[in-house]
Amino acid sequence: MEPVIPPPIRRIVLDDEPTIATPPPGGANGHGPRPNGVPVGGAFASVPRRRPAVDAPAVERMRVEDLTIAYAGKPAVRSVSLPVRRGEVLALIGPSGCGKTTLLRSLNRLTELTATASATGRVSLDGDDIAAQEVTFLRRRVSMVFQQPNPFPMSVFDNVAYALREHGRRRSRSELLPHVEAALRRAGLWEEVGDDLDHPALRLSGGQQQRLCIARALAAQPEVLLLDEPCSALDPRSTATIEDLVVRLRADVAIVIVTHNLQQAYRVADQVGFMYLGELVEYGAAEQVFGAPRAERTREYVGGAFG
Amino acid sequence: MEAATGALEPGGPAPLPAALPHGASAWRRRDRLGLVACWAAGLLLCVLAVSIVVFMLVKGIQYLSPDLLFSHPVSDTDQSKTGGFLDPLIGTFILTTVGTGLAVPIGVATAVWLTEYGRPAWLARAVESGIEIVAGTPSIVLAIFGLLLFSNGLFDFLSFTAQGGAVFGRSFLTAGAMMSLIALPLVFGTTREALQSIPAHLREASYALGKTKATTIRRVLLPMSRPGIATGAALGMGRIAGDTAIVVILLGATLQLQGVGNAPVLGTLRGTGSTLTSYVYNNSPAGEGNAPEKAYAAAFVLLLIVIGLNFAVDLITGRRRSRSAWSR
Repeated sequence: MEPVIPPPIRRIVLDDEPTIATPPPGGANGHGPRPNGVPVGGAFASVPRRRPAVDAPAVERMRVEDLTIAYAGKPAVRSVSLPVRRGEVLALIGPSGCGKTTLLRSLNRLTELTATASATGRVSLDGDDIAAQEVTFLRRRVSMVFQQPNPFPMSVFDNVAYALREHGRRRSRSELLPHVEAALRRAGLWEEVGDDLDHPALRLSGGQQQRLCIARALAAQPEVLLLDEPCSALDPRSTATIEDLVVRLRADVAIVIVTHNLQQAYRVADQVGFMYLGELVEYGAAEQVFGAPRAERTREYVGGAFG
Repeated sequence: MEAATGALEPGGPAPLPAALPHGASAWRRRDRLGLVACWAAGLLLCVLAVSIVVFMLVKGIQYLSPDLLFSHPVSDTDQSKTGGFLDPLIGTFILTTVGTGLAVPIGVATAVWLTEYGRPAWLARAVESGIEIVAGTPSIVLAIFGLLLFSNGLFDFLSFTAQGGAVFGRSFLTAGAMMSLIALPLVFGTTREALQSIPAHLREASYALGKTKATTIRRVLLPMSRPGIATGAALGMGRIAGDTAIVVILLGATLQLQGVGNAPVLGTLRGTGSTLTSYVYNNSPAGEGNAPEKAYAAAFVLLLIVIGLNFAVDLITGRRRSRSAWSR
């Protein structure tokens, strides 16, 4: 095993130069084919990026403003502000315990399930404060896929149909089937499970289970998809399938992905946020954060110095 | 015994280290004796179980005939005319159904509330101790309490009311209500265990899809707890079928089913009867019937029912264990 180097416990003095650049949506932040002249950091020069072009310009869907989240008074996320846009994949990177997952979970108010959690600041979806919205309605619009594949112990069909069924409304299988099929197709699973929708979900492979979870999350037509280290329990082949899927989906769904895997972040992300000790140290376009990081701490992290 | 000690002798692959600290051999002897004792205890239990079943099997087959199963019991001084135990057999099924039918919804609801809500904390603690107290109460105490409770005029619709307006308090409904308290802790326990064994990430997965807590419980958690609920119900049925005190005191232990009124099902439920346990008691040398052959035959049938229920529990839990699981 590789030796584990704990991150140095030292507060970061942010540089004079601002490291959180928020380029205007649809601007020159590099959609479609990349200009050749962009310098890319040494460690990532060989990593191919998966870049099908997105026609539409990026549209801001969510905005996090000065968000602080504390567990039992101990802050896990410290005054973070960033936008979440459709047409882009936003990757949150950083060492363990830096608040990435907490930030992600706050976007659909899953942090509320933790009794000791408290939050200040504002998160908005299309300009509306999410704290004021009905929570089940919000979570249908902002759906989440978890670190470990967690399909329900039901059939493949029922897993996807569960997300489609609305409270107090009975819908027949034939009525649900086109929607289930559409969701499974979007998650790239239809070819593998379409013949046997009554197959128990737990008998699928780990990668298939995770894509089923993505299909389940997509079934209710969410506008934002949150992915919490979706590939950490999967083999490289399943990981590649899911990364392709994420990049393809970003055209119609705003995607936020938390990952420990820097190469994965580089492969899938348009925008990257680097978090450290609860703070958003750097936010910017992927090739800028990886190729020419502005903050010293980001440089050390993406260079593999710690974390 | 010899076999047990023999199995302990080192078979060769791991020779003892040359220099054992002083006293180590004494420790080893004590360990060895302990293990032999455990072995013996296990064997003794097996022998006991087998001898009960074999004894009852021999006696049961000796005395059991289809005639006994399908004829009504009759009170008569001539032993050849006292009939069989059809009524107690039916009574056992009715009482088990009523008791389980009451215990399952209440037990499941309590378990769901306690695991999924459980607030305020003091109420959760109170409910938990309440169930422990019910579980620890001897059934004869429950029976006396039930008789006191259901003889109250408030509950006259549950049983027979005598001409003077005195409520009899004894019926399948009142006995079933008290029997449900015997099954309730079992249903509650297995359901709670099943709910607690469902990983938290599954609840989160449901909430993250915009589902309410109620939907999550109904559509995900309860279906997943079904084997646990079934196990509790089967265990509870076994306990109800085997209880005597409540039958003697609260069911009237009348030889035949004695309905009240003309309503076909409700009349029987409001009426009195007996079960196999009270029939065995009555026909044992200690009871008034004193027909030990019939007691043996009835006891054998009762044993078959209870063993069958235990077997059902094994089937249910075995299937649950072999179910495929999440990758983590």
